[in-house]
Amino acid sequence: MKPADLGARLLALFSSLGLSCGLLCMLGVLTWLGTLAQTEYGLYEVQKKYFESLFLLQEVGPVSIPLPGGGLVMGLLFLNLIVGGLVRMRRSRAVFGVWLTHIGIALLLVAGFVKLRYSDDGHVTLYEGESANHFESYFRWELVVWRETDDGAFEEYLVPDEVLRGAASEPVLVTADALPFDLELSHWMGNCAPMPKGPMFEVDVPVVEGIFLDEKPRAPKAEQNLAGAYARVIHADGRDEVTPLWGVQAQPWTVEAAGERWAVDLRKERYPMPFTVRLEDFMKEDHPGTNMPSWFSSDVTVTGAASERPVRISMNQPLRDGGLVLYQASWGPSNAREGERLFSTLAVVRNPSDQWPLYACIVIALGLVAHFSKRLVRYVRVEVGRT
Amino acid sequence: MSKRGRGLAGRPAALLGLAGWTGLVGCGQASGPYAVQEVRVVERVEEPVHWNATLAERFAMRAPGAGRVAGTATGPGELTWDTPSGWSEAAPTSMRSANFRVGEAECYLTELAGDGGGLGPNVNRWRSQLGLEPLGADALGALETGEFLGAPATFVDLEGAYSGMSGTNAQDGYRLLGWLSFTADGARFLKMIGPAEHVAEQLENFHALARSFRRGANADPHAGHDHGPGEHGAHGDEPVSFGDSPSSDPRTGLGWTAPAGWLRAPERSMRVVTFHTDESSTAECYVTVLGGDGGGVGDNVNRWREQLGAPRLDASELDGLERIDVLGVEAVLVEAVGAYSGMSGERVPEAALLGAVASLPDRTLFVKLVGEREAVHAAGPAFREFCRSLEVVP
Repeated sequence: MKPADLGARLLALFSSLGLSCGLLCMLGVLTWLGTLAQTEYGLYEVQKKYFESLFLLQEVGPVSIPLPGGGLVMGLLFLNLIVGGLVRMRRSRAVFGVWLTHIGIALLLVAGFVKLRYSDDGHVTLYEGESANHFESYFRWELVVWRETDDGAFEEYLVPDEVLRGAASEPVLVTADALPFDLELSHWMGNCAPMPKGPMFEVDVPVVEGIFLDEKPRAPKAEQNLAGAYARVIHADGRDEVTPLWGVQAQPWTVEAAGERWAVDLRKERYPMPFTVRLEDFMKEDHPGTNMPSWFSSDVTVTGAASERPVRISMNQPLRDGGLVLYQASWGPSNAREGERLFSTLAVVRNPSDQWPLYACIVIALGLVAHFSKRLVRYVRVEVGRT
Repeated sequence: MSKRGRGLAGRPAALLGLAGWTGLVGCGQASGPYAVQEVRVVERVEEPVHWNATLAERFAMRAPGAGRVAGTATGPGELTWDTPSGWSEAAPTSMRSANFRVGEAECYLTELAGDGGGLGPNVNRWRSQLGLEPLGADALGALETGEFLGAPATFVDLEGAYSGMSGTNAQDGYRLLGWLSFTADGARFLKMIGPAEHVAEQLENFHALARSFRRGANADPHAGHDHGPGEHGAHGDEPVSFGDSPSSDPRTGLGWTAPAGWLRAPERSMRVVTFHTDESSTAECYVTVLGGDGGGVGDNVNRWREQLGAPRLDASELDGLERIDVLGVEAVLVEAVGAYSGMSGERVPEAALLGAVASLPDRTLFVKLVGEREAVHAAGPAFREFCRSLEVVP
């Protein structure tokens, strides 16, 4: 087959209406399966499996059926849209509305992709009087090796979630020129708890000071998982030290090397904010006779590089600043008694494509209005001509 | 979408776009060493770091040193001890007032109300765990004696193939050290078990630990002291009012607010706290904590229901059960009516049960209200209030 023939066939394939229909049907199937899966798994796990993957295995009884994932389907749909709807479509005033609608749909897909790849979301949880200049992920973990610098700041070396998960199957060696030691991570566990090792059973992970990490089944809601791993510090002189790390450990593991003290910790991923938010007052009002709040809000002080301003964040009034959106999400402790100190949880989202779906919908709406208006006008003209 | 168009020649961007998309969506971490790519210098407010913290301290298990626990099954006074150097403390459990690890060996103190079965059955139970023949009365009488927690005690030192409580998978070369003490207050067992060579290395530490146990914060750790039977007001037969008892339990780190009118009952093994809902004592509410999943929410809910002759619930019915907020998680709330047969064989013909099971990250909490039907129904709102009042205390 000549390259030109192959090219023509591929073009015909990727621009076909049949492919569009097939992909849209597949998206419908994935949405249905993903919705069903949420009866057993949390939103995060379902999104990962059905909508952010290239392929997935769907369990149907004892059979595993391979299916294209949402990432692949939406990628192909985008390609189909570009090739068939924009590149190959004849360009004339007659189809301007259709063309505009396709641009809107493409923008919607691009917005989803940008959200997937470039957004961060998490939370800031503060008691009254506390402040924070970072927010934490709900789901993702990071390993941090840090030391305090001479001027009182903290120098942090970060290992992201993807690398940590890789240590589940085989050890991962972490290096950095400025670190006086290498760090080997192994036995990554997505959910675990430290347990004392008794003499009546054996375990297949290291036991340190009589304690080992006991792997647990993943919790249905991903945010409930408590990750853990084993870390081995390899000093320059060949000495090594091993310890388990746990996602909610009360203290970091501390290591002395080259005359300096270093701390190694496992924590939820942190994202710096370009300002500091301090919770001044948290307020809520319950429905009469219940513990269900009718409304709640947080009075915060936002301190930037050169300014400080008070802001009230309530359920429908988020704070938008520095590319971040802070929503009032929840509060606690839920069983707090009258007069007890409460904390406020602010959901934080950094999404460069935050408003793009809105723009995409406007473009799609304009395209549809233009197209159908034109059809309507033509219809009316024909009818008038008949009379 | 239009099928009309031009050739693909000259437009490879579309296919490259697909390749780029799939690569971006599905990219993962390549194997091999990872060179740190992100270094931050931040100013942050941190809790003071405990440099050189032990693993037990890092994981908020009991810190080594002078351990302590509030009133236990054999006495209300604070039980304290000195953890030997090199030993780590694990969290106490429902059956272990104090819990230690050293190397491959473990050591723990168990306290039981009553006689705990007596000397002979317990010594021979331990012997059977090591595959040893039981001792007769004469041999039992010849065992080494001493003092533990201020009371006469018997010491055993056994070696054999250890099979634990399961009785299977015996492992050779194990050694068991134990002090057994029986008084009018209850029975106490300090047991150390592990590979023989490890236990031999810790023999002196074991005896030092045994000598260090004392009741009351000011007790002389080496003089030994114990309370007489009349001193334990909270261990009489009559319930005491809630105001006389603490509203928290240091062993489990749980605190609570007892509903008005509820009466604190004497402590029972396995239970964090027990209440009678009124002076008639026709319904009781108690809290139990088990490590891990505690056997599973569904199985425990159905076990409770079976105690009242109620049918088991399938998975969908379990999912449909009401939830209640306990310690920040959604606890399953279960109700049942019928004839109650408790674990101790007690029977209540017209009974009701109201229970909550909360699956926490590291343990499972059970709150159970059971008793005569009318009393349980009357105490229902207070039970929910009590569940919601549970909290983790420092």
